[in-house]
Amino acid sequence: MINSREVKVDEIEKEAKYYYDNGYRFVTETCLEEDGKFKIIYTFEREYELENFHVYVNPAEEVPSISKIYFAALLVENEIQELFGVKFKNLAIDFEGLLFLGEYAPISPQASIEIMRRDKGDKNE
Amino acid sequence: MSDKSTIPFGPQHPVLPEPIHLKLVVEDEKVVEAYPSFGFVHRGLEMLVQKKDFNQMVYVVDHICGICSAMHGQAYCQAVEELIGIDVPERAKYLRVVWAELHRIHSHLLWFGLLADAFGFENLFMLSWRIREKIMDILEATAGNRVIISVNIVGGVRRDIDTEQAKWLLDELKEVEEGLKELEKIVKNNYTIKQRTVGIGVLSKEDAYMFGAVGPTLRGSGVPIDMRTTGYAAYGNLDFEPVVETDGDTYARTIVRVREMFQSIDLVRQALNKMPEGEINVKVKPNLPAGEVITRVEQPRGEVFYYIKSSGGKNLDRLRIRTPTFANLASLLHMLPGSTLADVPVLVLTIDPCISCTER
Repeated sequence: MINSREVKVDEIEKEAKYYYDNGYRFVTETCLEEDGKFKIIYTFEREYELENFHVYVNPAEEVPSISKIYFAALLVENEIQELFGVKFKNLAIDFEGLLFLGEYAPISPQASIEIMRRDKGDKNE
Repeated sequence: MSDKSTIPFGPQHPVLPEPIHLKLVVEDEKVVEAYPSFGFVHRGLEMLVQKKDFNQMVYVVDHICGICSAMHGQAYCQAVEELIGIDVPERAKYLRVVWAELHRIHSHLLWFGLLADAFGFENLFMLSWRIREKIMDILEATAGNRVIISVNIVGGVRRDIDTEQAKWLLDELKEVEEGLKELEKIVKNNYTIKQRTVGIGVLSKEDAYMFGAVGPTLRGSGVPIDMRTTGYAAYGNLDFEPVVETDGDTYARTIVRVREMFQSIDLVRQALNKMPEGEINVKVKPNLPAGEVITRVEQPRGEVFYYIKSSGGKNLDRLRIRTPTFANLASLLHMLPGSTLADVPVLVLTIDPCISCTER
């Protein structure tokens, strides 16, 4: 069973900075759907101990990226953006929906919550 | 004045066993930027939890990757077993170690052959894969299959290794060990290998840690993190210390993998000698309780992360898999800028990328 505490969306960067400053390495982010919202679980590790926090995100809400704190978060945040349609702002590199999916692939295929892709240059919009 | 050019690397490339695309921005022969793109073998396997029950999902995760298939099954089963709250028979835990370590050896040998091929050492490629064949034969004899062995089930394992088979396996491992000694001698003394790997793709200890690197990529930079230290399965009952090298270059990562193969042989021997008699699996109730679990297992490429969530019933609500290659890509993107174009194939292979795992 996992321990995870809830934080607000605007506290994500502060929390990530805390873990960075205290020598935690980034493990991953996990996105799932709960009650019409997205839940993103952030996981960090130090000396084999995992620490988690999570946020609930409304479908239209933008989430601050932590990829400028932990560069390793870059790929998983792009993946969540593509597969779930959650929009991350200030990504170190924004692949604009084309990291895993092709130009004409289904939009946010892993989400049941319907989201229009908002990336610029998107051919599917 | 320098001109920048953009060169596509992959998705089809002689050194890539699986498709990955890198957009390389180069100035003359020097790489200044690198951007990856994937999706050529994306299968959306995580979503199958909505259609397949938790027992059927074992076969799905077994097929994520052909190289560390048994460890995917093991990680998934460990997660479900923790969610249900069942204790797997001791014998099953040792058997899981045996098959996992055999997978580690054949994975490292496969990788080694590919690396040798990438820098044009064809004989070494053939030597490496010849040794690997012995491991594949052992897997076939003990599990009934060479690649996707599907030995793990929720509650234990489906096959046993009896005393006679264990004796035969240990004899076969002696031959593998002899082959590995020959290979080790070449790695440590060959001019070509050192020219193509020493000082190439240096990753500092701090960068490896903060970029979230795992497995030999992390340990080759001097960070002694190995999930087997946590003692899952039967590792807690076996003598084990993570293999660490400190130079942080491609050669250091190569040496880590070579030493790990000897260590895996030792772990198989320990496991077979200490394995108690008894059942190899327990029956599991058909419905899951509600809850969330994270498990981590040390695959050949590093730590794999499994998250599962259930709200009860036969199906999981969510399965999330963060594979070791996915974790090592940030380090690769850090290593590529500043390298020469000729070193890109070696750098891509230095993290031992598994694209099937990464894309799931």
